[in-house]
Amino acid sequence: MVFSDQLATDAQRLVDRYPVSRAALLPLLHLVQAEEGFVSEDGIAFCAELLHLTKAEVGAVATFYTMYKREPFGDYLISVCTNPTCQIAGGQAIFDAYRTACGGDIDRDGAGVMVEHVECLALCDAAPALQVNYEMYGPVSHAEAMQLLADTKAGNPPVSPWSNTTPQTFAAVQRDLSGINDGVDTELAEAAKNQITGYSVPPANRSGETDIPVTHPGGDPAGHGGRILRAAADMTSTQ
Amino acid sequence: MGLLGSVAALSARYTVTNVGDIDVYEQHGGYDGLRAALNLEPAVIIEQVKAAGLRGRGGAGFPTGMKWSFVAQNTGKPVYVVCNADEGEPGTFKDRPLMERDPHALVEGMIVAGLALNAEQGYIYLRGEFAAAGRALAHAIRQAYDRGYLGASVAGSGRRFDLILHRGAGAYICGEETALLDSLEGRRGQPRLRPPFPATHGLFGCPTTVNNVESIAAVPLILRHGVDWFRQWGTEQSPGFKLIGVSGEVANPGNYEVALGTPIAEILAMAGGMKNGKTLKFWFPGGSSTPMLPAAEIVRDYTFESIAEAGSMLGTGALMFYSTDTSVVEVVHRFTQFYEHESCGKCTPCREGSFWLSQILGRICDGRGRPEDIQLLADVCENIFGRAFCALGDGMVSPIASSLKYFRDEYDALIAANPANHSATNGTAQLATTAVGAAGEKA
Repeated sequence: MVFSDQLATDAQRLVDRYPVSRAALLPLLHLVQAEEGFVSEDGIAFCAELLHLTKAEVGAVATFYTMYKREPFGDYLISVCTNPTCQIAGGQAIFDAYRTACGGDIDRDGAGVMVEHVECLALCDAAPALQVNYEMYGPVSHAEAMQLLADTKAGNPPVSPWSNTTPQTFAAVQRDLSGINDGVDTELAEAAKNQITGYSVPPANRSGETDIPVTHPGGDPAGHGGRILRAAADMTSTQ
Repeated sequence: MGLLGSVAALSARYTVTNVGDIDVYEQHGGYDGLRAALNLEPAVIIEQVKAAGLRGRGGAGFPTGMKWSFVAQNTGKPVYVVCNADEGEPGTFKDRPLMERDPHALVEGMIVAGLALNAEQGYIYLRGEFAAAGRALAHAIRQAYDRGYLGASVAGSGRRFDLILHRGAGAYICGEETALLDSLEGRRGQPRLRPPFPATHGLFGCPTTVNNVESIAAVPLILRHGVDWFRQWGTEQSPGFKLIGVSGEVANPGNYEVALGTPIAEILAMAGGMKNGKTLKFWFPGGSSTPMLPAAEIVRDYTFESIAEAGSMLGTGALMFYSTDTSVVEVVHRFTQFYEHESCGKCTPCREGSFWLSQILGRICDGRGRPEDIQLLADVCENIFGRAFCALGDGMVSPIASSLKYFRDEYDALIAANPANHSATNGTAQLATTAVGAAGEKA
């Protein structure tokens, strides 16, 4: 897949918010997920190239976190809590019925849904709780839950009683999760740069437990540090 | 002993309409704590937090002021303030409502923490699944920038503080502070070896403090109202107030704020008691990682010390009450599946142990339990507790070990119900087959 110029622009905005470029990886994966509805090999390659990482390094991160989906499914992700309080209140039965109704985890008919069981959603006072594209619902009766599935499949998920919001599509909510819509880009980019230039020892570009600290700005070619170093060396290229 | 019972401090603004808007927030005392902090030297802010006796609200209960005093200063590196907003401990729902209902309280707390620690940059690491909290915080941060509370000169003081909202991507382990830092750096969320501690080598190798949402939000209140005000509630060792979530089989599950020291029975009564006339059987004082306690321990007070005496922990403020209708083993199995799912895979005891514990508990629940399984569970637990890389391993053992202590009879009854066990010959032979039996389970 060829990504849009807009994605490249947005991705750079996210990278510029951090003093060390790799810190933008989780937001970037949300952003590429917004493009395709899942994190594809192309999405991984895009992040890797932008951050000067290997595809294996990015893939290792993308596969670690549950919110990055590895296959396309459509517009709505339904997450059912099956932890004890919700389980006792009927959450497990709802999840099982969803899987039966969908013929598995994914039902591409209509708007397209994926159902998943999730760990505690922090809505234990409204058990059984579930989410559609990360908007909260609960408590839901079994019948209400089945209606919610039917409405969601038809592309009309109900308004969340907790956030008073109708779920956006999965792609749209991923854009939100990337932080690209948070604003204050200029301020955050200035702050990130200040962390490199305002201190005698800038943040390290790698700080795993075995190699603390590697702290020279040129060690982060994709970030502010590398750019500052190149500027100092009178190199005009941004590549 | 100070005042007990219901409190409206952190939750005072929950009922104010549209308090997520900065004008409304300021009409209700908002940013007064920040103004108080701007008149104080950083060391004095830390001293006040220490004097108040605020203990970390994220689970471990470590004194917040002391944690801040460990952060290395004048190293030539930037100092970072990181808020752990990755609330995910089963049963816990106290930080999410605070961020959704009163997001400026966290923003203000972060700025104050930044002033106290001479930090110019803060990060809020928010659990990715909290979409509504993310919207509320992003809005609050934009407004705080517009009003000059964030940026190059905080409220005109000439001191810089910037704040980024950073959303995670779904991993319970990122609530562990060093795993959170790795995740924030764009890596898999796996815990780091300590030492070095984050106070000297944290985010990007720089001095860092990681604090829970509720701990950070409490600081502006302490500065605004004073140490004596904070200490009017609670006990000497557990002063102040605490946001809690009461759930399980209670009549009115929900969010409550109580003085530390409030009797557990009173907290249960606040939630309307057990629902439908059910009888309490067991309860968790602070999430699934804290050892469960039997109904008789309801006589305890809600303090760090009283719950510790009972052999458990205050944890994350997640009180879960379960009735005699509910199978202890079933609940424990479900929690164990949670840990199996959330183990990051870095260390062997946790990665492998969680799998096997889940298998063994699963077969006991299914009526396929073997007589040697109880000893096997205890052995596996013993090999995880204190031997895992981070506290997730200990947390996993808590519900199992505590249920074996208080409800061994339920395990025995389930295992006795397995017809295959009635042809067994003797206990010695069965124990000898333990390892083989467990290994065979994988197929």
